[in-house]
Amino acid sequence: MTISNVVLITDDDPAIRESLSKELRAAGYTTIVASDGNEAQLAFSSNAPDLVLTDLAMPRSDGFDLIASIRATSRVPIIVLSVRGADADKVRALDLGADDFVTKPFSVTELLARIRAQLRRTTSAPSTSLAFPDLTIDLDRRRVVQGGREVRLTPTEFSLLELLATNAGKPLFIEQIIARVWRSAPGTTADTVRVHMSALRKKIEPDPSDPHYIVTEPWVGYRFIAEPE
Amino acid sequence: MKARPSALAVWFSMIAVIAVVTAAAKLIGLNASTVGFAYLIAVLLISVWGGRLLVGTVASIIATLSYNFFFFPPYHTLTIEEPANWFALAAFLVSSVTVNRLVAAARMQAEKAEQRRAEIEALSVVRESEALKTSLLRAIAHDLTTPITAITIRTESLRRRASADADLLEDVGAIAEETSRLRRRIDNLLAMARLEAGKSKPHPEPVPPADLFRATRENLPLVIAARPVSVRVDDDCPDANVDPSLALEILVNLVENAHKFSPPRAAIELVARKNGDGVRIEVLDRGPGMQPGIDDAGGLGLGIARSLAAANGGSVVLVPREGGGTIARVDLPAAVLKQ
Repeated sequence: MTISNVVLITDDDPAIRESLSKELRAAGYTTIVASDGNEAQLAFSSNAPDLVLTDLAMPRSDGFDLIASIRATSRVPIIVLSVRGADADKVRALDLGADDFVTKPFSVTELLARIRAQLRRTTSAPSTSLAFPDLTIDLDRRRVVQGGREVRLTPTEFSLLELLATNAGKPLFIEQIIARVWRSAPGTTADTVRVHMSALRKKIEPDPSDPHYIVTEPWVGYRFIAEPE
Repeated sequence: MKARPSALAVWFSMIAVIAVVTAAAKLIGLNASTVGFAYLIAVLLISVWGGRLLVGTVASIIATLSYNFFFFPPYHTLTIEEPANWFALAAFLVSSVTVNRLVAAARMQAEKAEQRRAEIEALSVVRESEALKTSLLRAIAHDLTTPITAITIRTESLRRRASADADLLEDVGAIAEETSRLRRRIDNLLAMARLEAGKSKPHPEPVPPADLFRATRENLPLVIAARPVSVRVDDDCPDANVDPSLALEILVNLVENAHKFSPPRAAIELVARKNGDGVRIEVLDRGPGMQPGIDDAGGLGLGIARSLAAANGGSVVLVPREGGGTIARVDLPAAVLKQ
């Protein structure tokens, strides 16, 4: 990494801010910290970070306000640090434009993987082919090879895979999937998506009992979990 | 609301007030029409203060009789000579009864309004306490999770830097394990508290068992590191119609229990299959198996798994496994997908 990416860390708890900041610096990132939404907004406009990490429940200006205000002007990746059991908050944050979330207490390894996925999505140039462990997707010829064998997908299944894989690491709402893959065709329901997704997963997962590419994201939709090679 | 005076006090006071008005009027020598007004005021006071329609009505009648007896000639009889006095007396009776009824109606309205206000107040107290519970649970979750998160991050930092020192790594590993145990207990207690407070009303959606297994294993990295945990989902197994986070909590508790009771390195198996109209998920271990009467050996974890399963329209039972060990069997409703 020649130029280190700047990560803005927003959490009202100093113990979290400091320990996170230290670990991210150890992983090669430059960090800025803020203790609430207001501070974070100021830090955001003066430092132009490459990624924002934010807690949701904070005194004074909370994480929701921060997400909304950043999204009004910027597409910078935002990862939410949510609390277990606050699923409605998580969904609301994604709805406001957050890209991903990790649930406290998270592991640093997991958080670093999420950060990498978000930064990759924003920096990688559009490509005609996507490569994941044991899975390549040729977007031009609409061909998929898994574990050395070609997988035959229906046009809908291919579109689903393309949408998810180009957004690898990002939870996608079922509504977004319907809009992008079915172009919001009337009569398309969440169950339509589920049925096609289930068929796709059976075709591309070498062991459907132990998925490595696509998983459901509770109350949101789906997420492509493999890291690009 | 002010308490109404007792019935006895009202009856007694009513008679006393009329007697006093009568005596005072006689002593002062008021003329008949002024006495009528005095009686009317007495009746009004009695019905406002006593708040009883019957007392007010009886007061009107007694006042009418006294008015006639003491103030209309011939005195000290209940007869009346002058036709005009008949009219005055009738007018008095009608007005006093009317006043009395109006007062009673007004009082009834006031009481109803008071009752409605009390009901609304009680309802908003309930709402406030619900909101308090929610924010309290949220604050507790936040305050308990924050230090655990900080400890987890610092422990990982230590582990990263201690990689060359086996002795130190063992200590760091022990801290990580205890922290994770503490975290699980907190999650469990919060899940129970939410359920008790009526906060975790399940939000079911179709959940593929494979995803549930994956999330379970992700949540138990130390169990995964300590022993093989295999998964198997039958091809024809439908999605479960459950609340994903509650279902995860159920499985994490059962796998943790299996881990606790299994000999070192013995495998734990997770299996999901179609079962009639539902989904059956099993956690199979090679622990000591169940001894009669210690179905509760699972303790808090099993209790929570059972409560959460019940909240999801499912159940958890422990059955002995052939060849030794225990099967924790979770039956959940299946999702029906409409295309």
